[in-house]
Amino acid sequence: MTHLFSSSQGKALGLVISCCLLLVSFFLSVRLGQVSVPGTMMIDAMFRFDENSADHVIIYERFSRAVTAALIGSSLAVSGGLLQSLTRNPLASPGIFGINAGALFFVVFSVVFLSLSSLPTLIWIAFGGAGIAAALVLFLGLMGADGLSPIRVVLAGTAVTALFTSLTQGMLVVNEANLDQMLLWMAGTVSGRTIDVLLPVLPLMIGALFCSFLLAKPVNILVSGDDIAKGLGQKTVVVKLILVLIAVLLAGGSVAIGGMIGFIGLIVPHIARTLVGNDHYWLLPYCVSLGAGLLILADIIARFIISPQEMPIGIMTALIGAPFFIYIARKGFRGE
Amino acid sequence: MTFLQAHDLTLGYQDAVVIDDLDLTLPTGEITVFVGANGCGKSTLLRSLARLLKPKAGEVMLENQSMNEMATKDIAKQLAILPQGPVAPEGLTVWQLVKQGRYPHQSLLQQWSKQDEAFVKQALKATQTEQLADRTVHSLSGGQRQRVWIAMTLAQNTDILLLDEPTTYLDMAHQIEILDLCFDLNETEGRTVVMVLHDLNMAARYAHKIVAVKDKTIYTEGRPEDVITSDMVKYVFGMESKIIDDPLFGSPMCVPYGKGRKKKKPAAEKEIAYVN
Repeated sequence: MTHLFSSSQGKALGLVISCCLLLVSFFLSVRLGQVSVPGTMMIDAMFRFDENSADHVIIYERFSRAVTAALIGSSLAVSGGLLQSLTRNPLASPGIFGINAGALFFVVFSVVFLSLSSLPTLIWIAFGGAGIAAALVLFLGLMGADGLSPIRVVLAGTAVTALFTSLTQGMLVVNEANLDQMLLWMAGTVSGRTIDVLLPVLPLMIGALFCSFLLAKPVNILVSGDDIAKGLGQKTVVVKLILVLIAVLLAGGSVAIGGMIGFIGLIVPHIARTLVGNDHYWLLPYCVSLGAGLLILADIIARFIISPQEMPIGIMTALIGAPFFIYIARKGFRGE
Repeated sequence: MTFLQAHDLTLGYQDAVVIDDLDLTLPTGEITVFVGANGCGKSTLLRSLARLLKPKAGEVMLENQSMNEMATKDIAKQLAILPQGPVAPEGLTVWQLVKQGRYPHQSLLQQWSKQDEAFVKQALKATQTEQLADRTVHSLSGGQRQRVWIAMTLAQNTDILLLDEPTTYLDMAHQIEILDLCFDLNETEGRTVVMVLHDLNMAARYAHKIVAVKDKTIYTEGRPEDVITSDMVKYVFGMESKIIDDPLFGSPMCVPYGKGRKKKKPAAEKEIAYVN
């Protein structure tokens, strides 16, 4: 397979272009909506913010929203890319660690039984739930003589997902009153997440993104197989554990903030791989810029597609992602 | 020159013991070949000599130090292993793959250097794969691919090279090509080469020392001329054979009995009588 950008210069140029597209979509995301705001107003809001001005408030909200989408998009894409490399499975996505189902279960549990409703609290609960599910999957995956086996991880993830999903559904069936409240979260959303809400989770996720870049070289070695990596002097178990930890932080943070936003973690790494190949030095930065850009674009479309209402962004990404998923599955199976 | 030894080595998976209490010294600067029937544990033995498999008991000594106590990265600077049937990630170029051989010599602070570049180029040259550098590994033929993987282990610049069935799945011409490469690496660069091979005749032709593995231990070891006999083949492989001299190299050559179409010759009829 040849890639669109094969030389280093080509890859760098592609990255610059995708970053430019990201900036443009970010700008459009702040500008476009039920009320369009002129560009001059945006500059105004940036330097002389007036909380009594309706336009300025809209700009602040949309800006927060675009930051949220960018953060979630890039985190999911990097997380998915790392997990695909770890499991050597092109269909892997952050969901395989049971992260989404775990987060949802703990959020619903807190809402139904503890009557919690403040967003910042729920974000931490979701984060914790994602972590617990991932730890469970990892524990099951490690329970063999041969260390961390990808196939066992995938199986454990499927089982844990099924368990948490059915428990969640059970709770919601019994407590129908809470269903409406949870529905938006299950469908995924980036609206109403202001910067202050993000602030506690932000450093963790950005830290994880930077750490993922430091992993590029060890992961490049690891994808040639455990024996090769060990033979080259790599402590494969350590590298895998760090990799999983970062992937879980990124995906767990994303699901905590935005709920179930599917397909980004699956398709963006694939787009990035077609563009630059399997070299994680390039792959991960591409995942960041493309993931952020794609989710912002999906968010913009979601505002207009059933205007005046907004489509939940998770549904939007599924609408774009599902056909792509089928395409990958067909291509992947033929390739093997 | 680095020295590789196994002391009281016991190996296995879960509860099954594959190698039991084995002692072995690998001659420095020579080619050693492990032979034995399928599943006899020769690959397991090789993997453990490269610390890919932790021994249940005993130890592998590199120089005068137990591998259990050495940092895996330090081992990788003295010993390279090419496992059986490696698969390169899709889209990886030959240059990128061979570059990975420099991994143990790098760290977060010490990144890619001129020296690294020189070793990669030298490895490509030794394996005659320079002209393939920009191709993807997947686009290569089986023989080329194996040469490229060997180049990666060469870039590691180690005294000892362990190869697990480097010729399996290759046609006869490519097998010779790979084994000639190993011969050159030993002959001109003085590297210690340890291989698992299935083809006894090739083993006899290239090896200084043969190690025959049977019943969880070493059945016999030594120069091919001394070790390869029809009794040994019968015991290790469970097969009747006749050992003759290789007409080209004079090394022992094992011709198995069995069924098959025969050219009618008086001599051949005598052989049938022997089998029956």
